[in-house]
Amino acid sequence: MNKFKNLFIFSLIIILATATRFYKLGEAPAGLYLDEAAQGYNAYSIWLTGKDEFGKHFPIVFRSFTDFKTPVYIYLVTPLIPIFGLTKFAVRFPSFLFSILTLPFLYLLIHKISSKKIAQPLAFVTSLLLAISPWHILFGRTNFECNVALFFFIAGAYYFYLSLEKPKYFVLTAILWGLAIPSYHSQRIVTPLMMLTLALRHRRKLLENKYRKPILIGLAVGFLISLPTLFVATTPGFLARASGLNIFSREPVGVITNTSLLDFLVNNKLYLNLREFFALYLSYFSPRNMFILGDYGPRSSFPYLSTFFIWQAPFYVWGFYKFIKAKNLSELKFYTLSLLLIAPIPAAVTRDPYSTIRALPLVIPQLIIISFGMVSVYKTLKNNLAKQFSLFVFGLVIIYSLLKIYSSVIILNEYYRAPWWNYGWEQVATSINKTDQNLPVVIDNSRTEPHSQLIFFLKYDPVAYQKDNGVNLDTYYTDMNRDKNKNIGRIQTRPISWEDDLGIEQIIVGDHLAISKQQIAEHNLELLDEILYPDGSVAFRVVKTSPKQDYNQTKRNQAN
Amino acid sequence: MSIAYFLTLAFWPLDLFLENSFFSFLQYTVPAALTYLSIINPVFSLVIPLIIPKLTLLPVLILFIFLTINKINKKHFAFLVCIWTVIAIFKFSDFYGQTIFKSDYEAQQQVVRNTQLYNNIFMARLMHNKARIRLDAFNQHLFELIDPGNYFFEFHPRLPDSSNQQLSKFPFIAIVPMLTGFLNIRKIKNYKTILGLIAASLLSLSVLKIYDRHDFILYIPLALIIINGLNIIFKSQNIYTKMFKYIFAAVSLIELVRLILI
Repeated sequence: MNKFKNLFIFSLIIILATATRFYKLGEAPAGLYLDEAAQGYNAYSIWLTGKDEFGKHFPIVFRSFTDFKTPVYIYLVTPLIPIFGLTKFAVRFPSFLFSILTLPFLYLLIHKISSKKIAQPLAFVTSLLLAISPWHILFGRTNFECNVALFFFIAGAYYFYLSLEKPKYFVLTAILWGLAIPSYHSQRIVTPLMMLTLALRHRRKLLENKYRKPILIGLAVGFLISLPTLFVATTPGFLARASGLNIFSREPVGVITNTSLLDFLVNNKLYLNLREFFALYLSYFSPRNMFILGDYGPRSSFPYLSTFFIWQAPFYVWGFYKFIKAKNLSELKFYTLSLLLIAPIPAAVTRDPYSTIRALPLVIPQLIIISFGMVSVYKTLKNNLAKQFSLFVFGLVIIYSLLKIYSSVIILNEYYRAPWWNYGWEQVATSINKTDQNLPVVIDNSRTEPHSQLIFFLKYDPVAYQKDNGVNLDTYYTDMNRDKNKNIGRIQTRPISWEDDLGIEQIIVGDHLAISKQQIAEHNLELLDEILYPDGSVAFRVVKTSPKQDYNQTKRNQAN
Repeated sequence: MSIAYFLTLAFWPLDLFLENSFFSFLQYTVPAALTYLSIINPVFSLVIPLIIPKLTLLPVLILFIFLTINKINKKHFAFLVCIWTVIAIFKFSDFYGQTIFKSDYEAQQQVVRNTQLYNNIFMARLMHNKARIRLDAFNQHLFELIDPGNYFFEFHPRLPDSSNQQLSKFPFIAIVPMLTGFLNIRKIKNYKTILGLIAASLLSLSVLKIYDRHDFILYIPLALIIINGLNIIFKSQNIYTKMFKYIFAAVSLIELVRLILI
C-alpha cells in the first residue's frame, strides 16, 4: 500500500514536471537563438551527410561559430531529425527529456544517501521542488546542453552509491560520468572533482579486492569514452571557451593607480584575480541572486522570476543552519556540501556574475537544503491540525508558483525577451521563399550572425552549404578565424553596402536600424514585408531595390 | 588576537569617514551608537528619529523585539511606545516621504502595462498589482542587506552599483569568522538581543527608498558576530586555524592598505 502511495505521489511530481516543460515546447520561446539553430542544423547535416556544416566527418567538438560546441547534445538531436524533422521542437526535445529523467535519479540518489528517518520526505520534496524549479525549467525548455550533462552527472552519482553495495554498477557509473564530461563545458571540472572527492571519501571500500575488476573495467570504459575528447584536448578549439571566458586571462579588476612603492602588494595580479574569483564564487550563495535578481542574462532567466521562488528563502537560511548543525545525516551531508562547494567553481572562474547555465549542478544541493529546511519545519509541528494546515498552505503556494511560471515563461518572456531569442528569422525565411526566386538576396549581418537560423528554417541542403562555406579540414580544430559572411544559394549574409546594393535589383533584409523608413523613402525601396516583435516594434524589414527608379530619384534630388 | 579584531573592525567606519564629510560621518555613526546603547537601555533608541527621521521605525521595532525576547516588561514597553508615537507623529511627514510607501508613478504605469498582456483579468491582477510595487521594493532592499557580497565585496567588483557609496565594510576573508560566528551564535551571551537588533535594523532599512550609509546601524551587531567567529577559530589550536591566522592577517592588511590608497 505504502509503495503504491509513493509511486502515486512520484507520478504526480513527474506529471507536474512534464507539464511545466512540455507545454508549448518548441513554441515558447517563439524565437530560435543562433546557437540552438546551429546545433539543430549540424544535427540535420550529420543525419543527411555524416558531416557537420563545414564538411567535417563526425566532429569531436563542433566548430560552429568558432566557439566549439560540445558534441553530446548535437548527437542526441541527430536521431530525432527523421522523427520530428528539423524543427524547434526537435532541437529542444533532448533538454526536455533529460530534465524529466533527472527527477527519478535525484529521488533515488537522495533516498539512497539519506538516513531512513528523512529519506522519503526529503526525496519527495526535493523532487517536487526540482519539478517546479524556474532554474531547471528554463534549461529544460530550451536548447542548453547543461541539462543533459546534469542528468548524466546525477545518474552517475546514484550508480556510484549503488556500486558501493554491488560493484558491478561501477561500470555504469563510469559510462555515465564519462558521458557527463563531454556533455557540457563546466562538467569538465565538476565531474572529475566530485569523482575525486567521492573516491577519497570511500577509498577504503574501493580498495577492497572485489572492487578491483569492476574499477579497472570502469576506468577503461571511462577512458575509451573520453579518448576522442583527449585527442583534441590541447587544440585551440577545445580550449577556446576556457581561455576566452576565464578571469585569470584578463586584466584584473581593482587596480589602483599611482602606487609605485606598494604596487607589488596591492596590484598583484594573482591576488586581484583570486579576490575576484572569491567574489564571483560567493555570488552563487547570495540570497539576493537566488531569490530576487536571478541570472542577469535575458536568455538564461525569465522576466519577473528569479532562480528560486522567494517563499523558499527562509527555508534556505533555516535549512542551511540546520543542515550544518545536524549530526545524523550520514552521506547526504557529505555529498550535498561537496557538490555545494564544487558546483560553482567553473562558473566562478568565468567573468559573468551568477551564470546559472555554468553553475546548473548547484541547483541540486541548494534544493536539498531548501527541502531539508521545509522538512525540519514540518517535523516541529506537533498537532495534526497544524500539519494538515501547513500542507494545505504548501499546496496553495505550489499552485501560485505554477501560475507564476506560466506568467513569466509563456506570457512575459514572449513579450519582453523576443529580440534576445532572435525572434523573426522563421518569418524572414518564409518571406524570402515568397519572393522572386531569380533575385539575389542580401541579409544584413552587421549586428548578428543569422546564417544558422536561415539554413535551419530554409532546411537548406547541407551538401550545397558545405561546398560553399567549408573550411580547411586540416585546421578544423586549430584555426580560430571565422568568416561571418556566408553564401546560401541566392542568399548572401553580409553587411549592406547601399552604394553598391542599390545598383542591382535584389531583395535586402535587415533590422529597423539597417533599413529605416527614411531609407526606404530615400532609396525608393519597395517594402515587401515587415516582421514585428510581439510588442509591436519592428524586428526586420524585407525590401526590394528598384535600380532604375532609384537612379531617376537620385537625378531629381540632384536637380532640386 | 587584538590585531585581528582591529583589522576586522577598522574597515567600515574608516571608509565611511574617508568618503564623507565629518558632519555626515557623525550623522551615520550616532544612530549606530544609539542602536548599540539600546541594549543597555531601550530609551536610547528613541533618540534616533530625532536625529534621522528616516529611521523612525527602528525604535518601535527594537521595542517589539525586546518585548518578544522578554528584555523589557509590558508596562515599560507600553510607556516607551507612547513616547515613540508622539515622536513619530511629529516626524511622520519627513519619514513617509523617504520610504517605499510613497507612490511611485513609473512603477504604477509598468503595472498597468503588464496587466494588459494577460487574457485573464484574475491572473493579471494576481501577478501585477500596486501592492506588489511596495512588496518588491521591500524584498529588493532586504535581500541586498542580507547579501554577503554587500559586506565583503561591495556587491561585485565588475558590477558597481551607482546607487550607493559601496563602502568597504569588512575584509573579504572575514566571511569565514562571520559564518563561524553565525553558526555558533548561541555562544554569544546576548545573542537574542543581537539577532533582534539585526532584524529590527534590516526591517527599518528595507522600507527606505535609499538606505545607503544608514545601514551602518548594522555595523556593531555584525562586528560582534565576526568577533565571536574569530574567538572560536583562534581557540581551536590546530594546523588549519594557525594557518588561517596568518592568512587572515595578511589579506586584511592588504585590503586595508588598498582601502586607504583608493
